[in-house]
Amino acid sequence: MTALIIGWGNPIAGDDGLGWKAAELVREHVGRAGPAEVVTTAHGALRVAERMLGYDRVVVLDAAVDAEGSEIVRTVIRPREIEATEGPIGHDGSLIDAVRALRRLRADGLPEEIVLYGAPIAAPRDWDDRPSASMEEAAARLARAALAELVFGREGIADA
Amino acid sequence: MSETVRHVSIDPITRLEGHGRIELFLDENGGLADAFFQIPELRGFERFCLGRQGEDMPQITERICGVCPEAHHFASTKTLDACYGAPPPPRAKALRELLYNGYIFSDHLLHFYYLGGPDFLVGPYAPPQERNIFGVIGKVGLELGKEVIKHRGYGQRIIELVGGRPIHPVSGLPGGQSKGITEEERAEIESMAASAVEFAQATIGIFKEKLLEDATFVRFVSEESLALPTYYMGLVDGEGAVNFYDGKVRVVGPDGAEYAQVAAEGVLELIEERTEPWTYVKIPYLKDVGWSGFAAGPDSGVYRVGPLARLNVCKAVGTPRAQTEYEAFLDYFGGGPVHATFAYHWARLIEMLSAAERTAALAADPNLMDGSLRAPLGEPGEGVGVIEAARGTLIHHYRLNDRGLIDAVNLIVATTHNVAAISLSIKEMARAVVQDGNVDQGILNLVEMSFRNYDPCLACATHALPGQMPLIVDVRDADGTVRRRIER
Repeated sequence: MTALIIGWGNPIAGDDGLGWKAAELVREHVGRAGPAEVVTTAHGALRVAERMLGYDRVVVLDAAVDAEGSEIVRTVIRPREIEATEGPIGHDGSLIDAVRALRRLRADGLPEEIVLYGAPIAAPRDWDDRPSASMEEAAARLARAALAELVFGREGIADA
Repeated sequence: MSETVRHVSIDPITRLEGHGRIELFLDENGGLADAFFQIPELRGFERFCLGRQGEDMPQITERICGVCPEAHHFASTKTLDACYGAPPPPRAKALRELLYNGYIFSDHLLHFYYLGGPDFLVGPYAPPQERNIFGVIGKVGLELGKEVIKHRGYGQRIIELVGGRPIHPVSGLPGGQSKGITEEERAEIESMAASAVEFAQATIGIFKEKLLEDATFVRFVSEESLALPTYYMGLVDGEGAVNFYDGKVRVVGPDGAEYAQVAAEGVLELIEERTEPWTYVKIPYLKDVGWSGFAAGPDSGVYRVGPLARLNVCKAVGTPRAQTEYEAFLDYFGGGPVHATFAYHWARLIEMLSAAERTAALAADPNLMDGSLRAPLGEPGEGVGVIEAARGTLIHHYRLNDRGLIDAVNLIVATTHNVAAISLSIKEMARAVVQDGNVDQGILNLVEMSFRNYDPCLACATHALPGQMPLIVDVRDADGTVRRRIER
């Protein structure tokens, strides 16, 4: 099985860079030859969805602008069931649209499952290349969630 | 504002990158009184860059935008070339241009099949949920879908092979490139480019079959009231042909006569930036022509950039198949310059073909594989870099101190050049279609279509492809209360 971890966010837009930071932590932990490929991106949803083609399983780490509370939110997208999928993570609408677009284009190689982990943030700040102190901690939790879920083969949010 | 003026707001605009807002003001008879295009976000990006290492700028500025990081990466790299007095050696230049043409091809493909093209491929009066890629596939066939995905992937693969990463290239350095490519990689690019040429040619065929036979599109490219006789700006090479990566900045007037042709460092002498109280974006205009308000014509400094502008400033397109299509384009309009705003769609496809052809030619360029990758750097100083982003001329201007740290930054991005023209285009379309206070969804989509011609990119930073962003339209009475709200 091929697996991909995507850290999604803008590393120079303050807390919006949370997912990027978390993915870097995962990469440090598993190394480049680890059981999952780890990438970071600030691209639009379509390019992110295109990047997923050819992988069996994808974990997306992201900042969740619209989520309530402080808990990490886990959402699963199964492209084959995409029509029924809803989720509270900030970018999910756009990502679902992009995955749906690829499905309608009859794209080969869409993953069986896309797991999105989102850590709530109040709102992306203006330009800043460091997440806030609380977001540093959230990035570590996101990274642990990804590792537990994907690398060690169990749902990660309980352990995050 | 007059008590008899009503207010219609379209916010946010769907299927564009970033956040924008259209304001329509209706008069007492329900016709259009005025229209404005706003960018209500203040980003402050230039300040963020101060004090940073100059060589970090290609990696920093490419994160301004989630859609076209390649344009900022190489605009920044070229600016650093100028700051250090270090033009790249031929091999590095060929590598940069190879990646860059791959990006132009991929980005123009995105616009036609996902963003702007669906307006006509599906029809401007189709329900909103059908005016997207799904509707396109329904109209032109399922097999096309796989070709779209495959060729989008080719563009990104070229970026990966040359740029070092599939996203956010890292290969551009002041004075050159950090890496070359292997013979296997070159051969792979050559093969992908050959396929891209055929796909681009086929896409022009679809355009001619579907759009040039579509009564609405023909009306929009033919109607004089929807044309803007402005000045135009774009890069041309030594032969006067379109060049996305390098060349001189050429400006022509509404009559097609040359207004100016300058090297990159001279472009800032041509333009002045104006501020308006209702938008954070600065509005550039041609300084010596002057600002005459939001108006077209020879006495107004309003100018346009992007695909249509590039075809209006050039003497040729520079690649054989695209040249043939360019000549057909000029024949259709009875010669240039072409002022029809909806001709941006056609011009974009001609450029897509040209970019594919240029990619194929560069993949066979002997400079690509041999020679130095970097030029020696001089002392840090001031520099201007100009490149043609998919949406138009992109200008970076830096001043480095004697330690190579950023002292001053100014960026003028493609959509900024076009802001005045976008406002004018919106106004002209709204004037044509808004009557008796009727602002239903079909009419609002027509107004948005005039905007999407420019393929505007307001993203600045993030990663949203707002395919389902809500569109909210408020119709207000003269006292400001919302009388009607339309959402989708």
